[in-house]
Amino acid sequence: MRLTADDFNRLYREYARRVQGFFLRMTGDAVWAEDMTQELFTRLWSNRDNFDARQGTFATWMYHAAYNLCKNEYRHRDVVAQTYDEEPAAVPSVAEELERRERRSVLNEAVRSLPDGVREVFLLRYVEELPIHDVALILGIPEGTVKSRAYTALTTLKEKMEQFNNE
Amino acid sequence: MIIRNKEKDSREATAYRPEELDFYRAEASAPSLEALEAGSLDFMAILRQQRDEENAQFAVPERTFVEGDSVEMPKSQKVEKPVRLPRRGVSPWWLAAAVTAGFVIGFSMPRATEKPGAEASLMVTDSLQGRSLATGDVNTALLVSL
Repeated sequence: MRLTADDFNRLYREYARRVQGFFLRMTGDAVWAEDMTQELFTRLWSNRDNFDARQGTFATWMYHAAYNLCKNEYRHRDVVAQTYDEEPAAVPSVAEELERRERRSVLNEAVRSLPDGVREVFLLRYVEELPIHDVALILGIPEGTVKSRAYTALTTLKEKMEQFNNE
Repeated sequence: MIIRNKEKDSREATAYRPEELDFYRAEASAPSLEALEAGSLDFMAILRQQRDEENAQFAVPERTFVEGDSVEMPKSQKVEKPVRLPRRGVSPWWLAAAVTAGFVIGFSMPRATEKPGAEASLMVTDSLQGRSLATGDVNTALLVSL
């Protein structure tokens, strides 16, 4: 089934923000993430004939292309994801807000410190909430590897958060 | 005569060392991925909330993809790549000329033995071969000329 312009425009509106967030979390570069989102959709539109709905969803296809762009970026520069804390819109109270910010900061730092392969799996599986099968397709690795990396990521993050809670 | 207890021997052969036992016990008691996921919901919720906040703040420009439209940049906007001049190496002609000049100069130099009144003690010797220039072989002549 060929993607029509109407389908594609709908998918652009649905996924552009999500994929921009993915780029940001992968590289930590907000400007690059914004540029690459536009570049990605331009490429997807040019190659829409290659999309085969029988092989996977549009999201899988899109994230696969997005991941390849990230990999190219890794090659060009030594990308280390930076902090991407955003200011919240509503502030409940100063103490709560401080605690929440600190927790978030520790968590972001923990995610950032994960090895590349483990972080990619964690972001796709638990932040982008994609099924294990799709993550395996996007990264081109077996499902067993996805599970073991997810296990490593969760164990590491859990340990770090427990340390933070005990301090 | 030693009577071996075969049953005891086989038990010993398959027995785990204490550190192996610790490893397998820890492995057996380790939570499954599903259990780990269930126990990580608190920080997963923080990350997902952060994701939603970030995603909502992105200013994604309105774009409309139209069938048949080219998404390539028009030629007028394309940036011309700077012309890169090829790096010039040593021309083979120059190399050939240099070698020829070496031969000509080498053979045109007078040999030590041809000089009137030259003595053997004054001859320049080839330190590697221990041969004198008086032998006049081509290699020595080249060496002197270059």
